[in-house]
Amino acid sequence: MDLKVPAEDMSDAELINLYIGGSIAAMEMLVMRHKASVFGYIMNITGSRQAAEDAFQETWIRAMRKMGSFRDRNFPGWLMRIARNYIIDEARKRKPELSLDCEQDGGLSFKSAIAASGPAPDRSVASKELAGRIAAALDSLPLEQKEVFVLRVQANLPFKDICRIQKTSINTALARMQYALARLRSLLKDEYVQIERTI
Amino acid sequence: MKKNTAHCERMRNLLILQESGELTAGDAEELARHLDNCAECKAFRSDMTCIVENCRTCLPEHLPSDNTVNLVLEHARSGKPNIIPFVRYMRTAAGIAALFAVMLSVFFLADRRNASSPSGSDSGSGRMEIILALASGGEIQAEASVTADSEDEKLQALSKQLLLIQGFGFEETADPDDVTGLFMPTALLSRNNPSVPA
Repeated sequence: MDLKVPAEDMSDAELINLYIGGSIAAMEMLVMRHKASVFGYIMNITGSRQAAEDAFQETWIRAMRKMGSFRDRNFPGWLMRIARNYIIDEARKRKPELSLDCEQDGGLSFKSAIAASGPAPDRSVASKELAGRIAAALDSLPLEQKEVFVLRVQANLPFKDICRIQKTSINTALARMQYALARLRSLLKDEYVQIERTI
Repeated sequence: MKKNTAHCERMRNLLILQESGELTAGDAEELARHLDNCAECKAFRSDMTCIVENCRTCLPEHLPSDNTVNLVLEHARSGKPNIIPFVRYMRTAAGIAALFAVMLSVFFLADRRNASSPSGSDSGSGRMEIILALASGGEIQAEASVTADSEDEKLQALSKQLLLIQGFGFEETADPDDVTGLFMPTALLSRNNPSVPA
């Protein structure tokens, strides 16, 4: 039985405490609040809707299981770490020697490994829309750079959380962001005039 | 004038931190001073703003299917969240219980080994005696016995003697107290008779 009714204006920490106290409604609110950022991150990393749906589900199940040990200040960052660990575990099941770094090593990419059993990626590189071109440019980034970019721009996480998710220093995370921006700038230079007109 | 690339890279890191709202006041001042004199970093800031804003506005928002969200919510409803913190302590409790079980097993095994040992033990003192015999062709060639204070010492002495036997480490020295004239290992002789060197 719910002891206290969760409210929209409650913080993540308050909702988590309510959930630990037995409030299912608090968990529902947390899921609805963070589903877009968590799924967006997973979707960008895996590139496959089916793999992303599975990872999303598993991330929340793991989060519910570990909720009692949650000590983080940033709940979305903690969720992203759970999601990332799950994605890496799944990729390694298919290809044990796989790591997030291997995309540049000429071997099977992390993304192709995770998407191996799923349908084709949702995104079409041939899209004529500006969004499609930006998405295609984003897809062409090395995974670690893309991950930093997505976590910052789409999930809106601060760098202190991004470097914890990637288990790296803040300088490395910032350098990856710099490379990602430089690469996007170069890839989108033909669209640049159009982009500038849109803002 | 030659451009300081490393300094510009640091300033671009500060620009990125500024965009994420993590820039300290001191760094913000330094960055402002640098931007006044660096056209490249200014261009980087304008490109970054352009790309980030466009990605935020143009890229489609990915949402999980209703079915997946419902499965997650179903899992939440079927769970018992108030039990979750208790599970953390269950691991520790299970670890302590396992350790206790191992200690009990070791204790009982040692006890049983003492009880079933072929050697006797001096009542009261707790000292144990081992009699070791070397047989060849159906006849006892050598016999040895040791006493020990503990199970470990007993096993150590037994191992020592077995090595001696396997390595033929015997001397044809008759035990002066033994009328049967059995041959004793050197180590044992030294143990039994302080006059014989080890």
